[in-house]
Amino acid sequence: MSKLKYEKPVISKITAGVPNKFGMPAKQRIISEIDGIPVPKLMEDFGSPVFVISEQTIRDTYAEAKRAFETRYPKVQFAWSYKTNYLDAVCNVFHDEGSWAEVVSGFEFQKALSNGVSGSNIIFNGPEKSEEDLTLAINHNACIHIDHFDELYLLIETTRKLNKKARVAIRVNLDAGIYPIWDRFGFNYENGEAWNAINRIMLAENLEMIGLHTHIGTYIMVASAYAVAATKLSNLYMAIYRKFDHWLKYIDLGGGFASKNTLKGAYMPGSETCPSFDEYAEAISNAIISSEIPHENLPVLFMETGRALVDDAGYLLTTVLANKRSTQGRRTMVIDAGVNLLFTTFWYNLGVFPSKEVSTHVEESTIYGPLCMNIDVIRDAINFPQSKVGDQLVIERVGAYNMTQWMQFITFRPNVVMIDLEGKAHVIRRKENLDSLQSFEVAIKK
Amino acid sequence: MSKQKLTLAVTGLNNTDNPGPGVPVIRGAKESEDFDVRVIGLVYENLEPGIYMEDLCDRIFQIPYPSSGSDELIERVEQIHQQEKIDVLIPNFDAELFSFMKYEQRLLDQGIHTFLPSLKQFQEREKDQLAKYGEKYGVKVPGSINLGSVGQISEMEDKFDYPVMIKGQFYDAYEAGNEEQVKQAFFKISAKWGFPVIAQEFVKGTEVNVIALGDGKGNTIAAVPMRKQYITDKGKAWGGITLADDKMMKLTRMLIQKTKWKGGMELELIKTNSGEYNLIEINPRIPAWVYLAVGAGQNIPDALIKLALGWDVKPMTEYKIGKMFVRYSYDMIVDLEKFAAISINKEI
Amino acid sequence: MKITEEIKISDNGFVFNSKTGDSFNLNPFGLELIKQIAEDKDFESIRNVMLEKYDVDDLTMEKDYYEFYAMLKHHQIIAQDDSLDFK
Repeated sequence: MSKLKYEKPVISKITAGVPNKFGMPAKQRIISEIDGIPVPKLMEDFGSPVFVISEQTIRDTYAEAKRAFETRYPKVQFAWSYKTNYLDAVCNVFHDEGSWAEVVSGFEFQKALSNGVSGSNIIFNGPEKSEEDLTLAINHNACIHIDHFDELYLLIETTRKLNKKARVAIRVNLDAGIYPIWDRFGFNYENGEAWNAINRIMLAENLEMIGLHTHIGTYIMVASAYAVAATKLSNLYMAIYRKFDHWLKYIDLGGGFASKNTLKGAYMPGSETCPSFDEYAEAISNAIISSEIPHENLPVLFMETGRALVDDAGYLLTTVLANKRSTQGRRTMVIDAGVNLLFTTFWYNLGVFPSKEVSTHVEESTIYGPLCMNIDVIRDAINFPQSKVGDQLVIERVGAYNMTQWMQFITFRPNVVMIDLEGKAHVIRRKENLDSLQSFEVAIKK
Repeated sequence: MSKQKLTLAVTGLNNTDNPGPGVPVIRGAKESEDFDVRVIGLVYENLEPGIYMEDLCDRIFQIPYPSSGSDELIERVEQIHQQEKIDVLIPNFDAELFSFMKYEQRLLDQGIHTFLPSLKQFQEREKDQLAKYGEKYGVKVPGSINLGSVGQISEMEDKFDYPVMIKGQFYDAYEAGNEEQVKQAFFKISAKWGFPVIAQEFVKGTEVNVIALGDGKGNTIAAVPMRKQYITDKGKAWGGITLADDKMMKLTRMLIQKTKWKGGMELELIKTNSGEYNLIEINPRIPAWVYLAVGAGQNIPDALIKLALGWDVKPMTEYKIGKMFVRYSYDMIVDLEKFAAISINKEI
Repeated sequence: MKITEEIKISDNGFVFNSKTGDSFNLNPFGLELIKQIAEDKDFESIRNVMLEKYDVDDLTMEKDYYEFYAMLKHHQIIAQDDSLDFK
């Protein structure tokens, strides 16, 4: 006689009447494969934990964004936000799709150059640009987005030293109805600071003003805020023409589109409430087209969206290390991926899913990472089925920021794998080892 | 004439001191002259009083909270529909409306009729959009500011004097008399209902309400104005009386006509001493005091069912003035079996 | 160790503790286990029955049994003894 299927015995307290955020347990979703490759196979080949990036998803998401804008506005150019994910393999998929590069440091600038991006297709943002960085950018004819007056004067000085011209835009901060206003970056629109900066630039003989840039915030859930921003930049665009008889080449609305992740504190899942590319594109295109700008002088629209283009393409595969009970009787689980790899877990309730059919008995649980640190919590409350040591789990929507903001802390950073369009997996960043980390350290000679 | 048989699914059976409208909606439907109603109660929690009330529901099912995803909720309703053949569904919580509106067509394709506002109608009246709404439709609304963090309290203090009302996107409202109370309310509300938290200028006056039903074409099918006579510490009416107030009726008809509101609604207004009306909130569904309207002669649940089924419903214009309701609490004696059944089997 | 008298266990997995007023939900395997514990069987004999019947190895069974048992204690379904008695 064959034996019956075993399931871990569980007893859970019924909380009477108290509003329970979870209500009736929902059906458990399972992620058993990524782009056709079974999760166990990926972990057998590349270890645990392991980041997996789907090239297909990147290209599909990019195509969706591109379609949303190009069907509404005549001239659109995306620039890949390096800081969101600057693994070369990821950047090169975006460049292959036609994206320029948007960088915020000398390091990222050099990375873009080494990826074969032409200097004139690099947008150089951010408050940190040294004379060395500016020299590099001027020599490569990049679009330099000036952040503050000190940078403006340093740039004028650098162009004089080099006796070369620089192509510039300014970053503008403005009130688009979004709180907090990011007024720490760029020149303010409402108090006239931006207009002053433009006037100074237009007088500088070595600076060629070619665009206007703003970036209103991050994870913006209201598409209409972009319309406000686009309208204000359009006003500046026309003011420059009226005063200087000069048409700028582009308006850059930056990034900040929400991804489908659910923010902590949000009531409904992000996948249902975050605006679609169509909604963002509609708001932005309408605002520029219905501004005073004559049709034949419409600027190229630059978009630097990062998170919304790559978050969905990234997965983190992880293994259950232990199940525990807290002194309160609460179920807790330890997995082998912690906050050292998942920076975004500080603001998202990341989705964690089993990779195979599991027990139907779910229980409110806390999921801890493996670090010997109290802050290492991946989910403080999630309804999760019973699982055993060694069970393989998938954390979804981790393609943005995690692979740049991760920390080498306590342990090595794992392999990053990309699955290509043919469904083949390739390591695109090797797991660290003792030698690679020690190579930066220098012993003191006695 | 024999009555038409009808299976009605209703949520919001939480008739507690902060009651949902489910139980009075069922009472109204059961008094219909045209329908013989079979009631399916849909509950989120195992202690919702409607579960235990004798002769209220024919079947009870537990459903997952909308915050676990609309798909989960709708699939559960579909599963119940396969057994019970639901004709009409009346959702009664603000927080679940989003999901039911989103899947309105999918439900209708299977024969489940609803009568809900459109997503646009729903969103433009949201509490954080009320200022815009007032401007668009020409109604006076109190000043408000959307709080994303406690850092904005000083900005709020520049705009309004204390006290202020601190409200959640879906539910909850607290009066706050100083910064500390604003913070307390902010944390309480944001933990439960997310962001933004709305701070509203406090308007002095009498709170009056209108319950109404719009047919989606601009007609006001039913409307009854009421004044709360006693308000609990949760801000809920414990007693109320119907009013004769032409100004309120005009305002209601004007809003329904301009917005082409579809479905049940409640307007919450403050009438100032100078006789001005300030719209402080629009609830996009039938309120918990709906049975007062039924008692005053306008059976709103019955009319809503008919509209959902596509019947032609004539506007009701008469109601009895000076009808009152008084809520009461009552301890039912129930057996553990029902509690066990809903907790374990998720249905009764 | 005995399951206290105040505990009522129904066949659908509903458990009621009339001493504390708490109620609980068991999964099917948990129900089977608690019934055997209620019959005052010791771990050895419970393990033998379960290993015979279910597709499970002895170490997993042992680990899960003791976790379950600890939860029964935590919920006061099994009589408490002094945990600092070090018996």
